[in-house]
Amino acid sequence: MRNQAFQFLSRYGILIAFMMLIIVMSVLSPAFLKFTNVMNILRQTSINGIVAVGMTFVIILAGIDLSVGSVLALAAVVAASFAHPGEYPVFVPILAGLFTGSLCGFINGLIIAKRRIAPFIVTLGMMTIARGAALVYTNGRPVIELSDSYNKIGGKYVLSIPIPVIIFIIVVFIGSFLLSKTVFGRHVYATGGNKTAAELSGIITSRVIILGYSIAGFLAGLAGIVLSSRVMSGSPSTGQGYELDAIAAVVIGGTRLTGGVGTIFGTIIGALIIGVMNNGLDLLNVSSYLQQIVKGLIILLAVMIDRKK
Amino acid sequence: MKTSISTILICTLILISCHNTNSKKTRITIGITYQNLQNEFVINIQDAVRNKAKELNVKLIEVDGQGKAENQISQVENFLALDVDAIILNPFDQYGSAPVVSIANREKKPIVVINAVVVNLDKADAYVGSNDQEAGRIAATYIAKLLNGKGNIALIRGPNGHSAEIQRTEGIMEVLNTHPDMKIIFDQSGNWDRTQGLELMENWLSTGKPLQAVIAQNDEMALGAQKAIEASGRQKDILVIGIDAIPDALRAVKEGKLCATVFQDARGQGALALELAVKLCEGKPVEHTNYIPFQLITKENVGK
Repeated sequence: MRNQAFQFLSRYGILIAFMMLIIVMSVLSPAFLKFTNVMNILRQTSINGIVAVGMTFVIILAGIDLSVGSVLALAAVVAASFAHPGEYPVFVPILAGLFTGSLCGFINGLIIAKRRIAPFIVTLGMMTIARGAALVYTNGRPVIELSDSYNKIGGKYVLSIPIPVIIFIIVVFIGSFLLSKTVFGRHVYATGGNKTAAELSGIITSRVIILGYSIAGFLAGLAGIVLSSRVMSGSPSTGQGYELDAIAAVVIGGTRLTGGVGTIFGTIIGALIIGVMNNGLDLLNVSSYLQQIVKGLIILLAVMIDRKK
Repeated sequence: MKTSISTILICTLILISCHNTNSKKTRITIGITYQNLQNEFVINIQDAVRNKAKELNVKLIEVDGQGKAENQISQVENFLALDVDAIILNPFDQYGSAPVVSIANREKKPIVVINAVVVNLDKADAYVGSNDQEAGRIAATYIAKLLNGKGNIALIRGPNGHSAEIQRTEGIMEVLNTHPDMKIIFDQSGNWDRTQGLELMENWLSTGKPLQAVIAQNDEMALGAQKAIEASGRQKDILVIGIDAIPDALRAVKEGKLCATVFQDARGQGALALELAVKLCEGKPVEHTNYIPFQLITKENVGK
């Protein structure tokens, strides 16, 4: 009986923590559960959520990607630079942004897999290179005056659901499908769990690693497009610290930093916990000094409930 | 082994190619450290400094503090090694960047502080800037006028502890304290960032509390807040004002999306700072405090 209770906690602990957070917030603020506010939370979570799905692949591979915030900014300014009104149809900036992100991720993966350098170092290098490239590309100034069709990506609704949220949901479905239903997904878990064993069983781990980092880069690029269209400008200084939010979401969601274990579902709950906190603390008008402490405590608490065994 | 040698070789080549081989000592050399060149406003200062330097035939050594006071201190120590004739400091942090002034004093190098202040400003040879309290006062006074001294206000601040945040808040509070019917119901930092301004506003709007105006301490945050208000369909009910007058904000003022912005003359500051530094090198007397006034930009005067 006791054993079963523990099993239940360890499997659903993070979900319980999330529910508790929702109950507390809805008691404290009457506005919290209103439809518009729920949509706010989802929309504000979508950027971090998209990035965190990519981060989940990388962390299950026993890696880390510190460059996603900078890659997001680089993809945002490249995409925005093709999005001025009357220049190109809207798919051009989108493809440009996605290509930029994927390319950065591909380079990360290539160096990590082929040169066997620690992912922390490789992506740290990419972090400053991509940030620098974004600044060089724009001369440090935000890219403004974007076309209406581009701005719709971040600003419009379909059936009263914001488009960023829809993109986020699609990313979640494809991400979970890739991880849990495909051969590639099984190879990701195997490579992250024990690389030597995976190689002995015939998996070409370098290919899995390169693809994993490319996915992270692709999704950072996608998030950059959504973000720049949401604020109607591509800023080279955007996305600073986003890698930490994404890593936090993944880790809160139960993915082990040592690799081999983790789910997209957990990551989504992790991203939602962070999103609910940011939103709820603003609703309650908690001072920004205190917010940082509260956020840290809630992250620690959520993980402690999850790991109680 | 081979790779490490070639790596060192490549790094050396990069360093050499970056090095400027212009070493004639007849020209005046001025070192300038900017608070953060990822900020459009600071880049405008840089533009003006560069233009003025070209005009006066001054050799300029420019470095970026990247938002850290400790970077600025080591950069100025490097300036001394490069034997600059004068130093211009655009401080990031009024306490953290203050040692730069002490270093300059110790080495008897003229130092001009630009745009933001440091606590030991009186030890600097000259200061060029705009009084940020005045910017806060101008913004709050205009909002008070439009609301007839009555209404709920949301305040979006700069990064906590930044000198412009502190002084603009002081200016805003000074005005609001004289209007007891104007209440700040939301007050949060948006870190000069448009996305953060947008998300703060979305969250505040969903509380459903009546709100008449948003005072944002820079334009980026004002534009973010405006976007959230527009999306919620309450654009007619809530006034938004920003500070800095960046191009995007001027366009928004023209379109009536922002009720006003407060123009801070980055180019005027940059040009004057370099001029003063040159005068100090030539031993000419200069005024210590040089304020460049702020100016309210509304729909009526935006084109000018």
